[in-house]
Amino acid sequence: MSCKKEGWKLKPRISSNKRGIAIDDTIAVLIFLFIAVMGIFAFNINEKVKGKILTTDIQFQKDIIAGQEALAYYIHEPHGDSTKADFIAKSIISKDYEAIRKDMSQYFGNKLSGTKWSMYFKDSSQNIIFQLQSTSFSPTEEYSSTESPYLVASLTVPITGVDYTSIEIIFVR
Amino acid sequence: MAIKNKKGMGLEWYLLIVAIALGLIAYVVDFYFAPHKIIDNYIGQHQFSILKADHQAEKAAFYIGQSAKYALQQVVYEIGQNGGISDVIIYEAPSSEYEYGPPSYNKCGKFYGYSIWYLDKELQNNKLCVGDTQIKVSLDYAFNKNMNSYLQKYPADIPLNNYDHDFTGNLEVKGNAKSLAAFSIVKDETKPVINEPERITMPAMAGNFKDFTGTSLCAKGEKCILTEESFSKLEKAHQRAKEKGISIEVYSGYRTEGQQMALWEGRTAEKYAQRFPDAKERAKWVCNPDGGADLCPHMSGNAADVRFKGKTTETTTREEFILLHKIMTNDNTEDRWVGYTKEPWHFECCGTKRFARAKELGVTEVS
Repeated sequence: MSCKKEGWKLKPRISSNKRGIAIDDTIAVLIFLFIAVMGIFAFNINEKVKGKILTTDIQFQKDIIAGQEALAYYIHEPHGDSTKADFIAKSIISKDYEAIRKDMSQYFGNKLSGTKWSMYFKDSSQNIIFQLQSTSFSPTEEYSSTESPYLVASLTVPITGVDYTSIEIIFVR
Repeated sequence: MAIKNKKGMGLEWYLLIVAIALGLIAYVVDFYFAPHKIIDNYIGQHQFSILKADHQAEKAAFYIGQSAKYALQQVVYEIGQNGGISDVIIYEAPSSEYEYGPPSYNKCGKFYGYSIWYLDKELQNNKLCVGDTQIKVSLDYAFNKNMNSYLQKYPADIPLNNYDHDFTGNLEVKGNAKSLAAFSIVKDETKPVINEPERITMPAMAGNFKDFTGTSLCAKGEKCILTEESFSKLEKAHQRAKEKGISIEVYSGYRTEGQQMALWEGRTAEKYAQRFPDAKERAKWVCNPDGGADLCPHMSGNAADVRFKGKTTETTTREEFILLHKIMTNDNTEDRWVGYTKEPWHFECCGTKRFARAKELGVTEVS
């Protein structure tokens, strides 16, 4: 009862405060509190972004491992009485790019399912011979502004003593 | 002028608010406009680096393996077509002075392009022109040459002439690397892998050597060392070549006594000792290091085997050799090198016996 009574008594004292906390001081405190809250908010965003950068970087590294291993496994796979590497070399010499496209699309479609990827075949002068993409790309689609493509795997396959082809896998996230 | 502050708000409040606001603005500006820093040393970073280096090594090993397979297939086909003998490159043919036909070291020669396996007179002495040993040496030699042409094309640096080959079974080849390829674990991914060149002990007599391995003047995969005087002349020759729109490169320069001995004793890809067991015969092809730098000018650091970039000894035409000679010997100045008649790619300067003789005779080439 006494508390209630004291509270009741304080109300007119605060509202008619003439000597205690000045009104200017209240505004200053409010501004200070506002800035402090904004500061804490910005700090939180910073931590989240930092965490996101770290996660992205680790994801990037994981993608490199996954992409490179997928390519390495593929290239050593048997193909008829030889290997996929020989198959690629022969197909490139005979310019049968469609055979490579079909075989690799099928293999990497399964191996890298759920990932948006594209693959480039380049000659020793770094000119693109042909490219293939995951099915998550529409035939004419390019990367959107929110996506970033990055190289995750590459391999050099000898063709002849004077030429080779580079295979590059790009992931898009 | 005094600040009116009748209602009790201290100046420190304003200063504090202004300071916090400025700090916040600076932070936001820095965060959104400064480049994002990559976080170093997060957990697992070095493990990833190891895995990436492992990938680089795997890729190189894969390329070497595939190259060996194709090089062997090609060489077997070529040697088969040529009757078991590999046509040797021009400088290995004795007295090959500017004769650019494809010589063979089959001493019985050829008949309408086919290598002769035996001659009546040779049979009388129970000697065949082409024996198993010669076929094996031919295979080894040609394979190494072909393999090098593959390795030179690889985007990163793989050492050349780096394998001891062992041919077994049904066309299998095993290669044991003489020196190991190095792949840096923590490195800038944008830079190519450069192998640390093998350290060479310089002779005590002269400390004025220039190691230009890995530069544009040194052929890929080769170690290039010359005396500083020779290197200076080489740079001038390179300048003259550039004026003509071409580039030159050295593919053999200074050789230590040990390296020359390895050549002489057949411990290199050229297999001189195996192909020419007789020392007198072998001396026509490769010099004996016992003769010192006078007999083996490469040991002085004042001799260089030079070619145009993108060319090999086999693909260089006679006209190109003549142009190379003009560039290197540069008739009118003191910057000249001197050519060697039997080897149009071999040039000497700066006090070798051949250089002194040419200077005395006032010519740019001697035998």
